[in-house]
Amino acid sequence: MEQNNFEKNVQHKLDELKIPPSDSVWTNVEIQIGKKEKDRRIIFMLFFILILLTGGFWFLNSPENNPYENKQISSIKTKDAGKATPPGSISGAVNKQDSSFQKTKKIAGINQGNTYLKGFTQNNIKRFRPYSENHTGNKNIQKQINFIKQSLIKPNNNYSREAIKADSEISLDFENELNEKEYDIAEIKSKNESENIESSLQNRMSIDRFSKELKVQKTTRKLIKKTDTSAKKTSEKQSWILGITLSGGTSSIGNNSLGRNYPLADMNAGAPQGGGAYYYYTPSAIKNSAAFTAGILLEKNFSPKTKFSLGISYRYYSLVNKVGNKIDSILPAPSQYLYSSNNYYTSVNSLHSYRNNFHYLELPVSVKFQLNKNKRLPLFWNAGINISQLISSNALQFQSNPGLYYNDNSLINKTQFGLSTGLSATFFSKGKRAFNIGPYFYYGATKLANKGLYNKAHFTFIGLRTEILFQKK
Amino acid sequence: MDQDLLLKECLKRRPEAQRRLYDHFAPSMLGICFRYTKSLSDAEEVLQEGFIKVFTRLNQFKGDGELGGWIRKIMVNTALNFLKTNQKYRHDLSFDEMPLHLVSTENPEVILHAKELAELIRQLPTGFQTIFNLHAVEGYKHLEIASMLGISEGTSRSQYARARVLLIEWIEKFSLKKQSGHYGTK
Repeated sequence: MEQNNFEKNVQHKLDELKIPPSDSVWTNVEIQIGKKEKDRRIIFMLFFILILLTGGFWFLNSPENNPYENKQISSIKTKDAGKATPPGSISGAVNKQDSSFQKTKKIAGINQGNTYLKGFTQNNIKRFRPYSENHTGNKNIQKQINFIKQSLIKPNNNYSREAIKADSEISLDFENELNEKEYDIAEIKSKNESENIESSLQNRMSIDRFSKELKVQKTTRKLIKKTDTSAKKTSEKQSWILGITLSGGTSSIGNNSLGRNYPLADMNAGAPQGGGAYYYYTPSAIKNSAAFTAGILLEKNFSPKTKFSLGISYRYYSLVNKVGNKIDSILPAPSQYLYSSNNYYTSVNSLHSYRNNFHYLELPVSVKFQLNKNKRLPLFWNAGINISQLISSNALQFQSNPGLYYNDNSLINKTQFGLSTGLSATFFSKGKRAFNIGPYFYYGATKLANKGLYNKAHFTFIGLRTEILFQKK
Repeated sequence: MDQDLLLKECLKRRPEAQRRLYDHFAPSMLGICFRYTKSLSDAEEVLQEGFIKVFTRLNQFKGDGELGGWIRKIMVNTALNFLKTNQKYRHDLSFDEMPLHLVSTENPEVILHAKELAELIRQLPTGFQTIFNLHAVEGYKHLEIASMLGISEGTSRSQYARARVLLIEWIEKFSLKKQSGHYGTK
């Protein structure tokens, strides 16, 4: 018991000990807390963007969205499965897409029956080897080069034989000509071809590498800028508020913005009308479909009741129409569209839904006006203008005679000006993260296209818009 | 401002509230950190680390005890981590197995000021200092100290006994000198 008296005495004495810390301690604590908070915010934003991207990617690539492309892929797969692929070769799908590869097959075939050419092709390989060995960054291209080497060296390559047999008549004629002892011409041609292939591969490799390096440089620059600005931000009071925005709704063209079903009259679409040489087909109606926008924004207070914001967003709009069966051959296509068309659909038996996707990069600028005096739940009216640029689209155009759908993006106006308006209520306006939500309407002031299926049509979007603002308190 | 309100404001990450909380607790917490370290700059380093933990983990405070006690616990743990990881202290914190030393029954009256007493505790070897602080001041049991420092309970007991003897000896000497006028209070 007595022993405890000493401890209690010491404890009591030391509880009185108070030493005021130097000012630098709080400064450091404040900086560190801020850093951790910023890290948390960045992680949250990255996570949000990742979810958006994953969701968007899944949505765009889900089988329900494009049953046609799926069918096409599956038919290609079944065709390829029937073919014997040699060990070590790359997939058939890649071969089909790569025209330079078909050229390689031809060369391999030529070499089979002609040992004379072997010498210079092997020399060519030796010549290009140092380049390919030094640049091992792009594995896919390296694989392709290895495959070319194999097919060039091995004269008894079964795959090359099969390939040349299955290939067009042009290569067979070429082989026959070679067999008729026109070695000199063949040598020059083959040499040129192989050089072209190698040089095109080299070009592709260097372009790929260059674009990769460019991306890395851009990202590094962005990161450097970010760190620079973050350092400044700690010292200065920032008046711009960073936020993220997400809108979801329905996109449409024309007046019927909310209609989802086909009109009865449209059930006749796809049936030929007129007669004799004057028959024609009518396209099916274009139906509204899902749309969303996701992006980041910067907001600034003009006055206590007026806010200004600008940002950058990705915009996805889609429209759905009914099309017939896909035509794989391009032969029935009208000659004037042959140059730019790559997808052809018949309008007969328009039973399949086709989603016309439009991907835009958008720069929205808007002003918000507070409508009420409630500080806890302020209501705003938003109005703004948007400038957007089409990134890609698979939208179909229509040819009434002979009733074909085809893809031709040159008919679409790539740059769009739009007007937007909406209402929003702000929740947690006093907190660190304000949350805005409300209805949103967008009207594309620029015509979607000046001719074709979307001639003089304007995009409209109706949906719900949300914003999360990271306010500094 | 009421402590509950202050806590709520801190949870909302309001800088003014955080500063208030810091101002309220920092001097007493620096006193704790001061007892575990050998220099004021080290103590401030521990305090800084401790408060960063306090603010980032404030949502973990369930409110079942005193906020001050919760912060104190964080400071003690931060100090122990600091001692374990800092090169300067790590070597001194290694404990040799010692034969059990009986705790003296001496109970001198402590007439020293808090800072003088803390200074004497800091003069103890790091191992003694740490165990004395944990047992005598913080009130941890030897079994708890053993698990905190990764030593046996016996070692904790014997280290404490030796630290106590040494400290009492120093307190008596210091008190005598103080009474005879050799030392002035700071």
